[in-house]
Amino acid sequence: MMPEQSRERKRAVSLSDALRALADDASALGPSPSVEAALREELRLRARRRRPVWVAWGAALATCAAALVLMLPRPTAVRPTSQSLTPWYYNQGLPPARQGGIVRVKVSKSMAGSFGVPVPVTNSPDLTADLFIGEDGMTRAIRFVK
Amino acid sequence: MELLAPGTATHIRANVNHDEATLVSRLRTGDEAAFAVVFQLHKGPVYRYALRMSGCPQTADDVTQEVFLALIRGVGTFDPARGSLLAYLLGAARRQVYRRLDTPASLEDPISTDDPVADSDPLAGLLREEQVALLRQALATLPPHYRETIVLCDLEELDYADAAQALGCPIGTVRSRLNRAKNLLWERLNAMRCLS
Repeated sequence: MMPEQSRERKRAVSLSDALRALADDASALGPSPSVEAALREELRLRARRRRPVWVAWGAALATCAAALVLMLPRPTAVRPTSQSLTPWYYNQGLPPARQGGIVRVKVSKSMAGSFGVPVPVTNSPDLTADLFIGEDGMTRAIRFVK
Repeated sequence: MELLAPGTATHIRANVNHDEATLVSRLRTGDEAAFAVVFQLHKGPVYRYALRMSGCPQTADDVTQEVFLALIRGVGTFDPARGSLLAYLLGAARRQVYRRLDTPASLEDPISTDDPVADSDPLAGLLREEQVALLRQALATLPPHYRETIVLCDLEELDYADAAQALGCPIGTVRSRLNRAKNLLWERLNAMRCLS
C-alpha cells in the first residue's frame, strides 16, 4: 500500500472513531418534556375536532333530555313518620307490589273522606298524605301526615 | 420494525416506509399511540440535528416542536415512496433551522476542494473526552451545509439516500460534500490543536 493511501486510511479511521464517540456522547439528548406535552395537547384537540357528527348530535340530545328531566316537577322530600300505611281499597285485586315509592300529596278534607281511611282532625282545609305507589303505578296504601 | 443496535442512533429503515405511512395517517386523526411510536423513534435525531446546526437548546426544542406539529396537522405530504419518515422529518427540521439561521439552505461550497490535508493526526494523544470536546468545537466552525452532512451521515447514521432526501440534493452531492466536509473538519482540528 502506498504511504499516501496508508495515511488517508489512518486519518479516516481516526476521524470516524472520534465522530462515533461524539455521536455516543450525545445519544441521550432529546427535546424537553414541554415539547411532548404541547404536541399531545394538539393531538387531543385534533381528536376532539374529528369526532363524528352523530356523536355531537347524540351529546346535544342527551343534554336536552337531562334538562327536561330536571324541569319536571319532583315529589316533595318525604320526612320519616312513625305512622303505618293503611291498605287502600284500590289495592283489592291487585298483585302485591314488590317495589314502589312514597309520594307526598296534599288533598282537600272533603276528598280525604272518600279514601275510606280515618281522617285526622285538623283546622287546615287541606291534609298531607303519603301514597305508596307500586312499580305498576297503582296506589297500594295511604297514610295521613299529622 | 427494524431498528439499529441499541446505544446507537436509532431510526426506522426505509423498508418499513409503508408502515410509517400508516402511522402518520393514524397520528393525524389524533391517535396518541401512533404519535408515541413516531415521536419516540424520531425526536432524538430531529432534536440533535437542530441543536448541532443552531447551537441553541431552546431553538432545537422549537424546531422539534414545529416539525412534529406540522406532521400532526398534515402540513406537507409525507410520501413513503420518496424516502423514510426520518428523512422527511429531518428535511422539515432543516427548513426550520435555516429559516432561523437566516442562511440560504442551498449555499454552495465556498472552500477549495483541492486544499492539501494536513498529515499530522490532531486527535492523537487525546483522551476520549478531549477528542469529543475538540471535535464538537471544530464541527461547529464548519459551514452549515458541510456540518449538516456530517451530522446526518456520521452522527445520525442516515444512509446516503435518506440524507439526500433530507438535504434535498442528489446522492452524488451527498457523497462529495461529505468528503469535502471531512477534509475540512480535519484541517480545522489540526488548526485548533496547533492553537491549543
